[in-house]
Amino acid sequence: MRKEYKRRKQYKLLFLIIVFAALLAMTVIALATGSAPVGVPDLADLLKGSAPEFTSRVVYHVRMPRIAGAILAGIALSVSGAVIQSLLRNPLASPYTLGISGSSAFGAAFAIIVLGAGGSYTGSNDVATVVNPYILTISAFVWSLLAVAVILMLSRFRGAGPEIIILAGIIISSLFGAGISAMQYFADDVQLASIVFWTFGDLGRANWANVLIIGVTAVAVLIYFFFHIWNYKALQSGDEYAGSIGVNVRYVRLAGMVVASLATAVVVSFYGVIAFVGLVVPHIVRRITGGEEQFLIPASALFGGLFLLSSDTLARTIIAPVVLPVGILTSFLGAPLFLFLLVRGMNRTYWQ
Amino acid sequence: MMAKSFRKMFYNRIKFFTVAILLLPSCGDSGRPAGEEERVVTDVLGREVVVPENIESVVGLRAGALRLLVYMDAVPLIVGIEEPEKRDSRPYTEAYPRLKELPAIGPSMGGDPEMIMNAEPDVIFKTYTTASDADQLQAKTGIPVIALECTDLGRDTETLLKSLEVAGNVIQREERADSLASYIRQTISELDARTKDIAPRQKPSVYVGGISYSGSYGLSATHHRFAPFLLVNANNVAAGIDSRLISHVRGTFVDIEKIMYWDPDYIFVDKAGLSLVARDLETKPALAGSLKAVENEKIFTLLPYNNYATNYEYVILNSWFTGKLLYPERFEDVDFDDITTEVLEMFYNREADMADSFKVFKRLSGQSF
Repeated sequence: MRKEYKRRKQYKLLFLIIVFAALLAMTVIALATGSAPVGVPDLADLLKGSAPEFTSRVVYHVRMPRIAGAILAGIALSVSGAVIQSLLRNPLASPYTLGISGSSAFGAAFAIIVLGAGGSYTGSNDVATVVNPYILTISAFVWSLLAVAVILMLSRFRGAGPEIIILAGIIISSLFGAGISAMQYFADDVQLASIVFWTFGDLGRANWANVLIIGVTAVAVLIYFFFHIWNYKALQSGDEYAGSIGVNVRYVRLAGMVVASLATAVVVSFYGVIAFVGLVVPHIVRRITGGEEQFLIPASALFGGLFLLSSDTLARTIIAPVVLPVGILTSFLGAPLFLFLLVRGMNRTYWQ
Repeated sequence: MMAKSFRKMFYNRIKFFTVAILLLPSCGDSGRPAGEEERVVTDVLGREVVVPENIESVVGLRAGALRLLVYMDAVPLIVGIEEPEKRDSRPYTEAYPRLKELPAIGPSMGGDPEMIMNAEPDVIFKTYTTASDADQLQAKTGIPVIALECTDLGRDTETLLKSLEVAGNVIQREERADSLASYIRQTISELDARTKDIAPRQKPSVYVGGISYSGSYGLSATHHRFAPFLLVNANNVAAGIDSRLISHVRGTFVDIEKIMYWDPDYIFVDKAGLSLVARDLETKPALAGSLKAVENEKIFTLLPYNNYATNYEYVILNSWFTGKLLYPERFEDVDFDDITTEVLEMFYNREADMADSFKVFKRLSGQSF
């Protein structure tokens, strides 16, 4: 019995190591891939310090922020998805399927059109251009809480099963989608150019400034989740059980959802809605290694980084020189899986 | 077969590496050693941008940027175009077909930073942008980014002319910017002088449909401040629409019923939406039957207004055409073929492949349905 446990633990550790190694390999591939002729030999030159400025610019200013953005956004979205699934005990839940991404996107568009963020027409050292990203992110976060509130209220009704919650999420998404379309209609040309991309996540907008903000958020959120892993684990055995061993169920669920939507809102406000990552990644991890939270969360983080980085690298190369927004690709991967889960969920054997 | 393709691949590789090796030293140079002369220019958004003294290569990003560069006689300097510009037929690429042979610099509405860097322009021109967006692209690519704006004639002519001036200043074609700007100003004031004192009740009512807004639409796609109508002081039935309720980008769409109610004397159809408008009129007999413009055959086509931002030379041609049609007595001395030649030469210069372009312009005649 104990031997069995130990073997499973080793198996999981091996999974982590493999994913980590794959992430490193993918990073190198992504660094050496692109439309500019900068490949592996050039990277070697760069390390030796003998590369021309062109190479260092492409690597440091174009590819690296994009790669870092992909990994960090992948981490933030996947971990949020994994935690939300645990909190609601709902295998179909994720920031995207619950409408959290959609409402964040609405919040970002709202900041641009109504609050006037991001539309600075004056000089580059204008204060507004410095403050704007924060207004955008804050607005995205505040609006995402609206979706969270609806979902939490619904989930408190007995009888609101996983499918009902997801249905509510889809309704929320389409409502905010309509809101974005309505605002686009009244946007001027420049505003429109800045909000059109929110409907499809695109990592092309990654730069060191937003990578830093997403990085800080991702780390903070990860630390928060790590401290609550045992609470989330207790929730799996039911609210009554968790309450009986001293878990403040309502607080843990509310705070967890708010933190997860913060992570989502930050990613969405910079890169747009990258669909289904938060759904697909935790599911793949669960299938391979099981659903225990103390392992699921770090594994989802690593695998999420790998998943989004691979998707984005594919999106950059699949029809090169044209670069697809990565959101299109993740939707193509995620939608079939979502359907599969819905069908499978009918006999309710998956979750246990 | 296999061997052949392998050999081809092999040669391509060799070619690639040779090019790469040849490029390497020049890449180093593009880092702009301190000795090279630089100057500071102010763009349309008021950003101060440091550019090299001599600009030998440029690219234009987003809607209208390439068009402005072509107007500015900068074709020899352009080193890359957004990929869809190679496929789509637009007057400026028709005038200079060799533009389509240039390397792609990424997708539409902004290109791809790596591909832009690959083309190694001395400076990037970008439209529909904000100061922070332009700054970010500049930081990413290390290439100066100059913001331009493509505003509409009549509604905001001065910002457009300012964009031409900025571009002229950057690529040192100030004279070209001057002559184009004064031509546009002069045309606008001449059209105004010919039409401004016509009594309102002598003006026929007009409507334009089928305008393209990132895609073609039917009769209901209109513009309440349609530039050609503004320039000849026409009585646009849609002029009363509240500006806050319309979108210049997404388009302004009016209810078909409203068009029937307005029942304008003249209907103009943008060529971009011609087939859809024709279908509207065929499939909705009540609509066609209730419009006196259709009954009296006062329905005319206009050259495409928008195609990746506005075709300004077409706006001017459409204005002359509309003016001559609505007020023939005021435009008696105007020969439309002469005007076409004049506008074409003004915007596209003599170097342009006129034969090809003329085919485009010649189609503009008062053809009715």
